[in-house]
Amino acid sequence: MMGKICKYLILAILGVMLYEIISRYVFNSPTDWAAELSSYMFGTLFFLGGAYSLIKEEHVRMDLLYVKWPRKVQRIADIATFPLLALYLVLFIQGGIGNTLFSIRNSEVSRSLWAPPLAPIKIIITFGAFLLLMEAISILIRDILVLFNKELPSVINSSSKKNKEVKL
Amino acid sequence: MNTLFLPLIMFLGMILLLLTGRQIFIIIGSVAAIVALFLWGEGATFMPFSKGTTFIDFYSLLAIPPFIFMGSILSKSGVAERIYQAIYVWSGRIRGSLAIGTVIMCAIIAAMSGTNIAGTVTGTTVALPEMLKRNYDKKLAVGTIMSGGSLGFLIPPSVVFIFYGVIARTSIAYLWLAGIGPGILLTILYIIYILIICKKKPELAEVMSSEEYQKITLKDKCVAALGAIPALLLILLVLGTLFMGIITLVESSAIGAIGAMICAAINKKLNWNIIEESMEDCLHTTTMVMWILTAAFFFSSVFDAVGAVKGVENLLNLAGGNKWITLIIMQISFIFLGMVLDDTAMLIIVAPVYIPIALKLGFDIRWFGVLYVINCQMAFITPPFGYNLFLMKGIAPEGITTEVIYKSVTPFVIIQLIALILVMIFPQIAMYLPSLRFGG
Repeated sequence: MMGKICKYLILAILGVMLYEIISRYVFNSPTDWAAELSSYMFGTLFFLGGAYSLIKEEHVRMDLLYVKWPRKVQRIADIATFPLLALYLVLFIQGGIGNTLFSIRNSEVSRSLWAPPLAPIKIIITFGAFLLLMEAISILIRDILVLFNKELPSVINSSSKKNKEVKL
Repeated sequence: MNTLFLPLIMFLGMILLLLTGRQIFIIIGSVAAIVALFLWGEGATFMPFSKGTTFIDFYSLLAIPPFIFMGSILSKSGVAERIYQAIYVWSGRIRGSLAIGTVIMCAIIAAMSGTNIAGTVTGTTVALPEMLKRNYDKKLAVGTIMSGGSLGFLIPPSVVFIFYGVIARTSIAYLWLAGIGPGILLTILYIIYILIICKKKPELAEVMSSEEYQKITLKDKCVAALGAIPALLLILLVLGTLFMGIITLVESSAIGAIGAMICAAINKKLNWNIIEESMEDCLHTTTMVMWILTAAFFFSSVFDAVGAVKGVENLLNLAGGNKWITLIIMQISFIFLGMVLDDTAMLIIVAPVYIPIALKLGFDIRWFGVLYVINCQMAFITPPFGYNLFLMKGIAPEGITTEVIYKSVTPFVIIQLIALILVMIFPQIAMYLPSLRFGG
């Protein structure tokens, strides 16, 4: 679901940019919001897209050794390095929540002519990191279960089915 | 020596952890997090997130997704095949013409896409089968595609240069113009090499028979040329208006992306599938580089705080302090780092350390950027670890073994080294074009 929304954002960004180009060069009346809005859409695209790219194995790995290992060793390595992922993302989310609450409390706005509130984009960034962490946990659980030859509970199966629907 | 201890531990720790195969952005971010927590405790918690919002300050980054989208649309809509076809029917009976055509096609694809992926992938899927059908030597065929594909770094639009411009706080249009000279130089050197090697060893490349050549009518030639023209016009339009200063970088990327869809429509290849696939490509590539960028900004600020610049400077001074020797050591270190890091991560970690040093030594940082990008190309096709090698292995037909791929790049790496040295000795190769536009 999230993946689909993020995917379409590129068209929306192009739309906003085109609108700006036409109003600037054809009607000679540039907007004060297009540049900033497209920048926020860009941030939304890749922060919310993070989890989706994780499912699709699109985040690049340094796979000099990794590709040569059997699938089982790969799973063990992924489980062993999970704490690193958790450390970075938990720190990221913790900072994000603090920063967002600050923005909300002080009704912080961007220092531009348009001056939109900053809280929404901060909520989106934090939420993107949170989704990525949740997705990583679900992959971790799957890896552990497969490693110990446990049957996958039906909940996980149905969720992975859902992911496939997103792909289509 | 004390100044070197922490940066060294941090750096080696990162390299070691990278070997576990965990996603690169996780390793970079977590190593930085560990060091930051160790140094500042609670105070470190705000850092990863605040680095997450830096993309807002660098508006030029916004040009990345449209340029990726543009390259994807153009290569999926069969424009590349048309260009290849045109070169093929026009070049006729020159020995090695298919290999030369591949290099030229890759250079043109490089001019319509921001990364090296499009060139390598189209080369492998379009040009490789043709060359193998004509009994081309496997190593020549594969080496041509790998080196041609890596031109994507140097020839604008180039995402690597956007990152470099953002970090060095210098004009991206200037850097892109500076990439054109060395890009053309490399293209010509590759072509000369292919001509010479095919002349020396005719068995490497088979030539079209003369009956077959006569079957190609002038009409065929014109049709083939017409098919390639819309894409070439688009490239001229996008880069031309950008370099003349009529439109900004981000605007040119949007026009390129929309123009690519129009080109595909002219070729009657525009359908929802292609748009959907290109959106998917664009999402994944953008997401991947931007998460790395976010983590690497965090890493680099911690790296800076533990005194990496001073440490590396001291280390380089041990080599005698001659500025040219220092420059050469920096270049060599790029090649080694390129073996373990991907280009975005390498740039954002190394550039903030090297750029102040290069400035202090009195080098032009824009020229330094061009050298860096030529180095990136080499790193990407040099065994044992180069992204293009793996990309190739993943999509090449059977019979193209890892050994063939590894051996195929040797002559081309040597050519790249020659080009690197030429640009070091004659900076004008890179700087002449931008100096026409920007002066000085």
